[in-house]
Amino acid sequence: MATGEKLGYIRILPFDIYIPVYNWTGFTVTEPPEYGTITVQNMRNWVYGMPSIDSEFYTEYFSNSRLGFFFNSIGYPDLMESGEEFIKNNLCGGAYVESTNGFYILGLSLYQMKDQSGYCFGYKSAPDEDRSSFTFEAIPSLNETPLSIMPELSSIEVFILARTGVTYILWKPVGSDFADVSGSRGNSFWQLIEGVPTPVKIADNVFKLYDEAPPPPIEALFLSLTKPGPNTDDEVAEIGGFWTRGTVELKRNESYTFEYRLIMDTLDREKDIPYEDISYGVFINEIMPGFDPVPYPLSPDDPNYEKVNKTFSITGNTITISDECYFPTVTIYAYANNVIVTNEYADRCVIRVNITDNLGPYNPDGTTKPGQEGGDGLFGDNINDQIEAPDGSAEGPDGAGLYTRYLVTSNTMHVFGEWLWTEDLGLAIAKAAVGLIYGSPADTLISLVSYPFSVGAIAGTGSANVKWGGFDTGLSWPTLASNAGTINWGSVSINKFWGNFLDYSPHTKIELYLPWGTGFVEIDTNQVMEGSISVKTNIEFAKGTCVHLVYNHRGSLIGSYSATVGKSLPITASDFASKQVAVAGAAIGLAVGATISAGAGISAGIEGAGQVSYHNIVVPGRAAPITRGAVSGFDTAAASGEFARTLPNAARPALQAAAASTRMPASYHRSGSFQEGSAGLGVQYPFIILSRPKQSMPQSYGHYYGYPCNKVLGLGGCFGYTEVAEVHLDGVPATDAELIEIDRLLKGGVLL
Amino acid sequence: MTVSLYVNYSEPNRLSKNISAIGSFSGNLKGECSVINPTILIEAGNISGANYMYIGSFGRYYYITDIVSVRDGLWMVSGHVDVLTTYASAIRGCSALVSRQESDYNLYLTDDRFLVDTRREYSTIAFPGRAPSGGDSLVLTIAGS
Repeated sequence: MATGEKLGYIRILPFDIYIPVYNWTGFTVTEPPEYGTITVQNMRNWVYGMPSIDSEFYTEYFSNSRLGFFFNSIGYPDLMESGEEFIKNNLCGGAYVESTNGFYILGLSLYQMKDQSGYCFGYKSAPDEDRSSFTFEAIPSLNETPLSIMPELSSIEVFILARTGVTYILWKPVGSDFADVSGSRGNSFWQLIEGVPTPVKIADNVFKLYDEAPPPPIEALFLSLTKPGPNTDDEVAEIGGFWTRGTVELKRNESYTFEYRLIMDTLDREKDIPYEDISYGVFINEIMPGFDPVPYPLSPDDPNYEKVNKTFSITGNTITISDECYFPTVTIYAYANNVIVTNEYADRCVIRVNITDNLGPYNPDGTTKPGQEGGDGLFGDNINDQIEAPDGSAEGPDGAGLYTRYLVTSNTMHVFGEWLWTEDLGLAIAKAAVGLIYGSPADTLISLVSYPFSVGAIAGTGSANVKWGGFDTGLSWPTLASNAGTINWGSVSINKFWGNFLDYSPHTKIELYLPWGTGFVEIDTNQVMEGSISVKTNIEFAKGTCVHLVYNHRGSLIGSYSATVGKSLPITASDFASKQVAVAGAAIGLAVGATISAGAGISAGIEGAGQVSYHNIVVPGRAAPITRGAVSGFDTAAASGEFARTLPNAARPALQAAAASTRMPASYHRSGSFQEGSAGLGVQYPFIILSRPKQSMPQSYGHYYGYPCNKVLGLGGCFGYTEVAEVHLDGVPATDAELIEIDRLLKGGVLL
Repeated sequence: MTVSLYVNYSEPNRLSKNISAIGSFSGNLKGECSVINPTILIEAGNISGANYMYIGSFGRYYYITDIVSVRDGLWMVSGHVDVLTTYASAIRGCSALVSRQESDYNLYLTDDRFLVDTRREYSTIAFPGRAPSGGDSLVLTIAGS
């Protein structure tokens, strides 16, 4: 019936019914429920579940009724359309449960069909994307469905196994009778059972379901002797029998090993009593309130026989849990019968029960169990100074105001080109005059750089008229507010996977790709493991250079790489203007008279030219442009010598040079160049490629090999496989040959 | 001397053995006898199932290395001392530099015994930030302000 991946089970006590849960993905809850139902879309892809109806308890408590999710194989539209009657006549309800602390659980409600009534709770929820948390929203007012669930349900406990890898959350009702909460909508009779961690509130109505907590370590259990040791001169004394026990929480498809030690001890020494003196067995924990523990092994006549056998099998000292585990825990007991102790070890007699799962710190897939990753690496107070890099928004190195950066487009460049190449005589003369001081306008163009993103969003923008020296061109362009800017790429978390040395260098490698020519760089894994890598890039906008700064989660700068994000474009200009300058200068010199020097004449011309030029720019319509022919005519006249003879000697060379220059083709020069940089062609953001080894970890590895320890330990406190590097066998009353053998065995590995 | 015979179900390198008793028998040393590798003559029924023994006079547990039927009802049992069980309490009283342990460990110590698959796992993770969208930009830098 069910489809999709089986995620686990929901177990309902005291009936001990397991409901398989399938495929949480692909559902949304969007509408307020009606009649206690919930609008669940894509229900076929959500959870399906039916109880194990072969349970004898099921029959007892739910004769002629069914328990489980209402959304089984029946499709959603039918369910909603038929409403309450549908539920009554078909299946039981599924809904949400609210706890006293305001946490709404996506779970199930019970709807018993015996008397055709039931109760569901009205809440809706929607899961987050990764299903690690759920958002629940209470529906404030709904008509109650009459509540008349039988009193036995007041003791029900509901386990909700939300998803694989997330713990079940155990809730139980508080009230003695469901009827007591009729009308209260169930918001007062559910409480968190003590000892179960409280869900972490992430945001309003958003709670994180806990990762499955590791089972508490099962420590050796000590039971002091109920009778004191003989402590007499008698050699031996019989102290009778006693027993102790340890409880193990069972997990499906795992196995556990239990070991016993019966020890007589004084305060400073102990002696193991031979194993044969201990009998042991298993109690299955209560399966219903009021039930006595079920002993193991059971006779085939026992009503629990089948369930027990489906739960686990015991071979020697190993319990193997099946996939159909019915019981969450078993209690392993050990019994010492008529222990005989000597007066040498008279103070105490202890049975120790040690229960370990056979996976050690690893899951079957080789990953490390949470909380069992080994050493914490507490190495004291490492110095970690913050290395501060300049912020790209700060004033750049050329922030003295000598340059202005304009955000341009091909359009504005075209307009600028027209200005640059104008044939307006007045403007040309003005430009020529100004150019005598500032040089060619093209010479003021420092760079033209193309960026593969919106620079203005980083640097901020303003607006200013384009000036050439002190000469305002009248063109108003957007400018960059700062000389540099920063792109913050954010951070990427680096988490352990194996929980061991394989997560670190040189086994796990991290390559960081940085855009705009830097490419792949290797990051020291140890710097960022269990933390994060963050990258920001400072960009300088004149040349398009940038520096990628790489930080770890402690704010340490762990890498700095330069790159070129901007692509310099060639700026084509001509010294044609300079020829105009020469010609205009000569003409102006003529105009102001032969008595002044050519330089003085030009100086005078500058002022006039500036005014004229300015006027020509800002007034619509242009003065008659100087034509090539006119220049040529002027050139011819100048070259003819008529003017030349009348010019002062100082002016002659200039004019002759100007005339000569007009016969030469305009020479071109290029500022900047296309770089081989392909900044705009590669990936435009950083990313990492994390490469890790794939561990091959057999089950029970630790039992056969142990794990690296490198500690000085008292061997009496060690359980399981122990391999010794060095030991001083002080106080071992053995022969030399025996001591050598003990040393050899300990170094080869023993089972303590 | 009294010799207790057992069936040992435990590995040789386990300190506390899981043993079940067969019985206690009277035995005699066969000639000169080492306490490390004793040979005992035992008069008993079939004891061929025994693989472990305790000799109270020596205060030691032994692995039975050989059982020879001398004649009907007489067995010659050879053993080698089980130093681990015999001196288990004293050994537990010692401290040692433990190189490997099943339950007390540090997994961040390099373990040469770990095996890894030749095939490595790769993850590609992009940083969340992006350069500002809005198309390419042209920046013209001109001298002067």
